[in-house]
Amino acid sequence: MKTRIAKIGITAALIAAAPFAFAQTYGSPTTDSSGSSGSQTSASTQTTDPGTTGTSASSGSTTPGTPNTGAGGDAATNAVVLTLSTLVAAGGLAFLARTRKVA
Amino acid sequence: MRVRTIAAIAITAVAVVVFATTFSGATLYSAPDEVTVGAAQAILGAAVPTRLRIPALGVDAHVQQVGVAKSGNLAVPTNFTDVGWYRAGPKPGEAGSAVVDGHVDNGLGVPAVFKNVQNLNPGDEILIDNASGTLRFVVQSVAVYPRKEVPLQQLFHGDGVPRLNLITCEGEWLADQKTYDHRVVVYAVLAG
Repeated sequence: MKTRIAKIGITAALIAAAPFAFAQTYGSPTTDSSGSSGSQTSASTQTTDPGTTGTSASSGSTTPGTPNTGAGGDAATNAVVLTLSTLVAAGGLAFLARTRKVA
Repeated sequence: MRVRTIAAIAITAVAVVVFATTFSGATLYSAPDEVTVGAAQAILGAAVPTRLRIPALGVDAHVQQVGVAKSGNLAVPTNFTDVGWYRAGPKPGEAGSAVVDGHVDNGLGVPAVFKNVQNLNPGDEILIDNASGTLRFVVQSVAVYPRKEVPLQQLFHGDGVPRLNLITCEGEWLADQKTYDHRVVVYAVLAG
């Protein structure tokens, strides 16, 4: 019995968590070390002062890089995840409702 | 029967969590991962911008204060309807370029506050409200750059006449880097 429960539990978790494989994480600009970050003239300081950008390294000034201000490219993926999770939830609720009715 | 019921409850619960997580992530940005540099705390004062209005686009947005993200990039507003003023730079109306960023769309493809800024034309006005009143900026030019070729020194220029620079994303989506490949910058100058 315990083995059966475990199998069902694992299967359920895998099925339900599948959308997570596609889920996107938002909340911060994309970390990009390939060049979109701002120039930093001194690694030893963290003074952000765009007004002095381009000054000598001794000034220790930095300029932030360009912001990541969009997420629309993930719209299709998010739509799929939302649809799948809605279907799974609806199916689960329907099953539970039917089970309760029978009981 | 009991086992199936438990499994159904578990699956349903996970599905609901997945839905909620994805939906909130796609429609709301969480607090940005900012590093403590420069003016890390919220700045108060009469010159601090509170609202940005672009009559030509029907934009009327609350202004958040943003810093620098851990990535080194300018941080972004925590939602898709507000704009973010770079608080370590000049305030709008002060000498130099005040920089304001805003989203172009959200994770469901819904247009965000700066969706149409590339349609601005020279002469269009941008209004900044603060506690002292309203500043009027006039668009001088609109430029589109590959995202790694934005002239940062020009964008964040700290001296000279009072300017207002708006920036947002544009172009093709880079799925592996989760960003667009171009940036739109609107350059405006104080008119009164």
